[in-house]
Amino acid sequence: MNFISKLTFSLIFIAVLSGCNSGDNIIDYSSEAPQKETSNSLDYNKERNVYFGDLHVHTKNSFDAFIFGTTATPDDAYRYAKGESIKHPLGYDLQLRKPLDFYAVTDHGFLLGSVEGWSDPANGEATKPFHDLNREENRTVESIAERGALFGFYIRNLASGISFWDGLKVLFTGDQARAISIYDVDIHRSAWKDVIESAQRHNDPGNFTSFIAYEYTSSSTFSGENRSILNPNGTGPFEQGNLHRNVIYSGSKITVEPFTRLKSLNPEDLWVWMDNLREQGVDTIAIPHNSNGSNGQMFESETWDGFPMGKSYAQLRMRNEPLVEVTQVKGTSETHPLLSPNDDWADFEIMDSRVGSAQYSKPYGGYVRSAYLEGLGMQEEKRGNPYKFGMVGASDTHTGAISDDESNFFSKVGILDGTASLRGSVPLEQYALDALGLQATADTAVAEALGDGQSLALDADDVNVNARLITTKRIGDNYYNDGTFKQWSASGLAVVWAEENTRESIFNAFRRKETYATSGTRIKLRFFATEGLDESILSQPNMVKTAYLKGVPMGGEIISTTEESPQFLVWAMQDSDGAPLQRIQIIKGWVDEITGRPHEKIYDVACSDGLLVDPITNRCPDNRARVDIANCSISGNVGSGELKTIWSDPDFRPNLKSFYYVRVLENPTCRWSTWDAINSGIKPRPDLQSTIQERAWSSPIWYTPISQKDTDYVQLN
Amino acid sequence: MTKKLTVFFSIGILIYILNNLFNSSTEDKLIIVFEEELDALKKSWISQVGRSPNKEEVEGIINQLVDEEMLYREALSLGLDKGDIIIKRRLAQKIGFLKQEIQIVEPSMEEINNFYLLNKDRYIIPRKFSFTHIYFNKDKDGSKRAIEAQRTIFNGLSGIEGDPFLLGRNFVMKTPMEIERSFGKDFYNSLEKQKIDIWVGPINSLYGSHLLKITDSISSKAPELEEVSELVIKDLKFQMKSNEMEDFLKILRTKYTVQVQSES
Repeated sequence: MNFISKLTFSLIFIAVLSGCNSGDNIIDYSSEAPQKETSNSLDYNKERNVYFGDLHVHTKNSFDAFIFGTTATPDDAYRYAKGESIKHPLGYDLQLRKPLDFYAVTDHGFLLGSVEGWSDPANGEATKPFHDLNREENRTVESIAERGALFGFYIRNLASGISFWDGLKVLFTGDQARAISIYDVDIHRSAWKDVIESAQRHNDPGNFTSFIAYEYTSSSTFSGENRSILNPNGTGPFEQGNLHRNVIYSGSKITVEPFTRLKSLNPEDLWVWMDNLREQGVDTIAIPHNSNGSNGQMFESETWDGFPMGKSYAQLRMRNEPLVEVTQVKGTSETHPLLSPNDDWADFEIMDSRVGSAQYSKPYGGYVRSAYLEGLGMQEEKRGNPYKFGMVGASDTHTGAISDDESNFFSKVGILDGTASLRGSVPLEQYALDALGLQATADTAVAEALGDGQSLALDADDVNVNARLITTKRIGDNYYNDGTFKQWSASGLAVVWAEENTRESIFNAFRRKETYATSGTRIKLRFFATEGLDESILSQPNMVKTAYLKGVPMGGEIISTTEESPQFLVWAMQDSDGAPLQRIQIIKGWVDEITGRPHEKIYDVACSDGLLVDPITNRCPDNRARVDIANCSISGNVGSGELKTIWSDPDFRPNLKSFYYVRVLENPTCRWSTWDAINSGIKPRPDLQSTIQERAWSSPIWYTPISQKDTDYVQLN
Repeated sequence: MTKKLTVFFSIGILIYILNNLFNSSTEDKLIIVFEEELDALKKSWISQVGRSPNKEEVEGIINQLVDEEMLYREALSLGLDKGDIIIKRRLAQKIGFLKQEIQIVEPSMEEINNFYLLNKDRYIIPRKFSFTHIYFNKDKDGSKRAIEAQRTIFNGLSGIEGDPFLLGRNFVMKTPMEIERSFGKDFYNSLEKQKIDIWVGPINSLYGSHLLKITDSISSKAPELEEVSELVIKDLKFQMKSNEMEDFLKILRTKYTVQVQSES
């Protein structure tokens, strides 16, 4: 009897466990795609073509986008990318000036589709606050209070109070979502399936590429206090440093569920999951964003559990994260004025709050350039380099539509920032002021309501800190919205050099890091590091072919055998709808080989209008390009349509590990906040920057001296 | 410990026997695996794995099918389908789909024609150009060099290189939008007026001056119905389906009475 009962229990145990994690099963959706992936389409070019896209788009399936009023579906998002018109939640039309070449809908993995499900009144009392949230008459500015409260409080407090049965479910599936009483795994899976099928429908090899993707929305805690099997993330205090990354699948084989923050907050667990998928033939990459809002956690020097990073960490991270999103609506993370005090252009669309919060986000560890330097430093200490990623830009729109045009900016969070006054660029009208005032009352009301019967009590501090994105500032007789929206920007785009516009070709470009980012403009940019070339190459018709043969493109690594500086070839062309180019810069970073001290230096390498770089300061003279703030017109006959140069590092030392990346600057143009004011017929807000210089950043080329080549280092290709 | 286990085990057996005596019906317990179902599953197996399943794998497929059927029947006998919102919704969706599937008759040629005529502009194929160009950077005396180059070509001499252009020298079958995207609007406006197969120019773009030779051009056309028939039929069927659903609902509404219970 004893043996049989033991056997029975073990069999049941195994049966239950084997039924778990069906979420990681892989399904092949190739049959859902209308056309086979073709190779050698009409545009196939061995020297590669340039393709512009956005890999960070939210639709109604995202828990927050739906709360913000978005009803756009993934189909709508792809139609927008192809050039069609769709509606903003507030009802006005959105349309790109020029279609994009690739697009990826990346809804938040956790609670994907859930809020739309909860908005169905058939669910009963349990989801009452969400019922009919986005009916047409409720998509108004007045509904901000309700929406802000749902986003700020309701979502945050979902998983409080787990019953024993829920706890067991969490234990067996490893997914805390199962503990949320109103969570429905069928809705989650079928919304994810819709996202997949929509991407398959719109993928058009040779003409337009869609990728199946989602966002892993993790954030940091200060401590892992009270971690347990049922509560692997621990309880607070929560630092809320942004650790979000977008997971992009390379093809049509997709898991039944995405790996979400409710399975683990630790990105290292995500990477292990991605490694497992790769072993089963499904390749994915993850692209982190908003390091500026991570409070220094995105580019740390310690692992999640507080151990120093080493080679295996570096390899794990680089296998899975070859790219970083350096610019998007919520600010640009290239560098910060405090980290790069000698960079006159560092103060570009800086956002310094943690994401979804008003808390300050400290700069160090949150910016790409210092991460590159940190990586070189670690490599110097033989700990591998986990920060050797390429760069892309994106929007992070939550309306399905990227807003990259300064003159027509509609920001990203739907109703919450859908008008100029809500964005903070023009004074708040009375009705908007009232709506925001209501928000404060609603916040308190929800906090009190949640206090009833919930184990998590909200006190006054939480109310003030957690979701308060809105404060007002008085300037003269006017009140302006002074929350984080005023720091947001009309960014950005991901750009790749790929043989043709297909998933395979573009994904390979991601893996090679032959990518660059722009702040929303369509600058075309080539960057190579070569050996054995000189100025005469610039007028050769086969310049690009030769550059590929004799060197490496952006994202590559040059392992040098000579004592001389490589030649850096840069070629940039302006956006036909943008402003002329002002200058090309190369930013060099290195660590001292003895002390390990990091350094950076900015070299202007090409100037517009035939001007010459000053050899002492390494700066172009001012080309006198100006903007007329009264109407946003820019100086005519100033700036260049095209800039091209070959440059050697005058301070080159063959033993230094270093990186070089390109930054191209346009002539100044009006910032969106100035355009908003002009479009409303009033003066721009005095305490915001009135103009910006749109720009492009290439992926770096790393220089590794051959004598110091770290032979254990795994080079990605 | 063993004694308690025995007691509970016996109670369990008793309940099981009683349940079988009173609640079973033998027809419920027969599961037939239909050939069509098995074939369909084999086909999907092949498309996922790339080869036919071997004997063991077929057994595996059958077992999975049987397990699912058994669980389904048990769920039904426990009444798990009642009151489940998801199931209700799925069933409503399903009859909706069925209605759409059944009612769709292949549209007649006349219907397709009419639909096409009504929606002609949706299917217009934009005009396309193939061309090759020689580019002269405006910062380097572009205008002057372009004029000189054109003169050289006109005089029968060749070998003009011009400056390298970042987007390449040859463009194949590009639409007006694509050309505007790359060169700017003014360039396209000049381009479309040019004769083909001869070197023309200089034409100016944002970037400088260009000499241009259009090698091929297809004018925009409203295609013959045969060329886009697949697309048209797809759109027509989509419209018919949405109409069908509306019609079906209209009929249903006459059949049901609705009572709304409210507190007011």
